[in-house]
Amino acid sequence: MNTRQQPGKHAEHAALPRCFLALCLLVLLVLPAGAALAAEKAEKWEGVDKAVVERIAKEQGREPSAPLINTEQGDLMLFLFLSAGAVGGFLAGYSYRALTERKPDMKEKTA
Amino acid sequence: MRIFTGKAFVLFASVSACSFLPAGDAAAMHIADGIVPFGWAAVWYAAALPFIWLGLRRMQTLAAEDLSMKPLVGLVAAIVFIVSCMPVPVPFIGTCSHPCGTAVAALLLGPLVAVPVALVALLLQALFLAHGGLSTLGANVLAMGVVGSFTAYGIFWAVRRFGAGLGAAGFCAGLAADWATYLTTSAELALGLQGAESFLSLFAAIAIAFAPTQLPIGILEGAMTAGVVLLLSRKRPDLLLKMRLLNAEEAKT
Repeated sequence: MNTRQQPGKHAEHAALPRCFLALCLLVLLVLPAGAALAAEKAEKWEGVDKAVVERIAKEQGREPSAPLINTEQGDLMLFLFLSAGAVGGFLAGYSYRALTERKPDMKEKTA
Repeated sequence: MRIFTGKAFVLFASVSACSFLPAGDAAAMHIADGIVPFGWAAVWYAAALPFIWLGLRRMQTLAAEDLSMKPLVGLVAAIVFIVSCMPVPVPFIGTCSHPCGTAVAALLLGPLVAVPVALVALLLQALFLAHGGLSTLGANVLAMGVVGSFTAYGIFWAVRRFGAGLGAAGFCAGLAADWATYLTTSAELALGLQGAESFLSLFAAIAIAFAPTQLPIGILEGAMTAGVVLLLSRKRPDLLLKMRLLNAEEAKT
């Protein structure tokens, strides 16, 4: 196995951790500022669909219209979320088995 | 993953830990019906339609070549549906948001097939979960399905070209897809709502409002994407070979 590195390869590898550090710093800087801003306006645990999209739309004079099928009545939404989660979870679990039960030997296959 | 070592790992751990700090009061990409004016909603439909058509054709081709693609599309569609409507609390901010899941779809099925997968997930959510809307379906598909998928795919390959491993490339793809989706949503909203205000100032205001919640969610989506790619590289390397995420040399090791 050739262990010699190509010229410039080391620099490419070094660039990735630097990018990652910059990303982390960005997050660390923006999080507190954003949190302080958001704290003034949103209710606790509100989704950003409402806290950002609908709030800004309202400020600009537009309101969301009622959904075609209004499921936000009583426990209907809870029922639909649970049903969707159960069906989606079943599909994901069933397909996961079908997808991962076969484990071909790549050494043989690619030889 | 080689790059997550030393200082980078400590910083990553610190940032992740911030998300679990005690909550304070504070402020998804789904745009509800009525928010975007009709003209703009039509524009976003027109922009998304060619990708949906191409995605459906690509899906037919893949299924004709290999029947095992069908359960894979089913699995990925279920993942995208669940992930993109699951509100994840961000304790430090005190609000909820959701990842998109389209990075996983784009990597495992290709960016074109990821578009109809996103369409199905968003349509079901709009119809039955009051999440998004029918008139804004085009805008939501364009942001999450088209921009999210193609960004994930492009970033994955760009990072791989730097010599990064599967996990690092998957992480960057998930992160970029999530953030790109929210930036596109910000642009769509700014264009539709600008009125007398300039596009750039409204775009910046919306993007900044999204940032505190979406920055950590993007990191979560990156970790999730990396996890799926790494898991499949152990369980089904043939699948990653087929989608050209791995080359034969890497599959042997």
